[in-house]
Amino acid sequence: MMKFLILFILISTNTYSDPTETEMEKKVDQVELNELKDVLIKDKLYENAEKRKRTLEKIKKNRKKFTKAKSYFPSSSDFWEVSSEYWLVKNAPLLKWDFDKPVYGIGLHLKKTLLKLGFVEKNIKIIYSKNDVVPHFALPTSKESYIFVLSVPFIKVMDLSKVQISMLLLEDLLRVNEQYFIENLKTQSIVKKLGKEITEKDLKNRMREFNNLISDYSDVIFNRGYTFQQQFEVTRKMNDLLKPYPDYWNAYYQLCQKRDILTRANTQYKKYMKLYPSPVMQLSWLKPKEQTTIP
Amino acid sequence: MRILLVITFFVSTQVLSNEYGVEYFTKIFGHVHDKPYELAASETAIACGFPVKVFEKQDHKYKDWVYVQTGDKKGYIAKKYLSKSRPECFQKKYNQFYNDLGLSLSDLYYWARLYDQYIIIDTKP
Repeated sequence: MMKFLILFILISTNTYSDPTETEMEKKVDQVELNELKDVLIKDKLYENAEKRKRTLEKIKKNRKKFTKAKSYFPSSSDFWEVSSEYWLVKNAPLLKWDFDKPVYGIGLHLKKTLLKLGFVEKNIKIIYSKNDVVPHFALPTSKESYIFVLSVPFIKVMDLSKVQISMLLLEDLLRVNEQYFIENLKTQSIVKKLGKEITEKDLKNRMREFNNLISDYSDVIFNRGYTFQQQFEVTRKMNDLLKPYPDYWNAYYQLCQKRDILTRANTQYKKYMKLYPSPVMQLSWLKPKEQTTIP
Repeated sequence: MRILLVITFFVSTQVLSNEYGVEYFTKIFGHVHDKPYELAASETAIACGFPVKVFEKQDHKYKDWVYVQTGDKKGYIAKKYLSKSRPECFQKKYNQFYNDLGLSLSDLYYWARLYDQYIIIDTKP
């Protein structure tokens, strides 16, 4: 009887021990897995894997964007900035803008003037020219950006004050805003293709059209200038803009008077009237209430 | 004397070799100058997106300029033309169009000089 009892006890303990071992094994496995998971999370492997995945997606997206852009004409904003700077580079020997430029403080004064008149968030680049081949001009560039070319001899011969120079540049700024320069270009074919996909035919003709455009730039800046109608419109806009500011309005009127005298008296600047028609008409369009004299 | 020499050596290297980080040139072309002003001689010309190693100078007299290294050339670049993030460059964005321009060395030089000669103003209120 005793033997059977002992045997029974042995068998029951054995069967009882199996579940504990598997449970123990399970527990050990679980613990090991949990520890591993903790280690992985602590090592940030999951995080890094996700980051890498996101970066790869971004790279694929950008590559697609660049591949697409390569077969397009530059967008309007990118194109005009590069074209205008390309023109300045090609005409560096003629304009002579690479010299030890004088410090007139025009930049700061122009900034103050523009802020007062409400022209905020504008990016402006002024480049001085050592000769008067281009007395002054504003080149088209990206949105809310302007490139002004300003001749040092022109400023000196006109004896312009800082306020008058600011008015001169403001007038040019309004011309850019109205896109008069782009309107006056004869090479409009490339303008219509900006930001659009290039066909095979476009690809062959693209650089020829671009070079024609750059030649056209020179023609407008050196020879054709602006039309009578454009001069009228910009003068009226200046008048409306400066009316609430008598100091600025007077400075602008004095600038127009100086231009009128210069074009009549100085044969060197007779061409100026062709580029910026009729300073005398500008004076009549402004119609001052009282006579102002040049100081 | 030897200790003094060692100390001065370490101090001088610290003034120049205090590396600040890598930044990128943001304009289409630009010059790295041998001195911190626009008309100084050019050490080399660089293009948009070019990474430069920026060193923190102890001398803050020329606060608008940073001392940089690009390749084996060291010099100064105007701070306003650098960015910590890589910019979107015309050369890369319109690769074909840019290549077709066929710029000569003289064109590259003058284009970089343009950014030395500009008077740049931003009308931020």
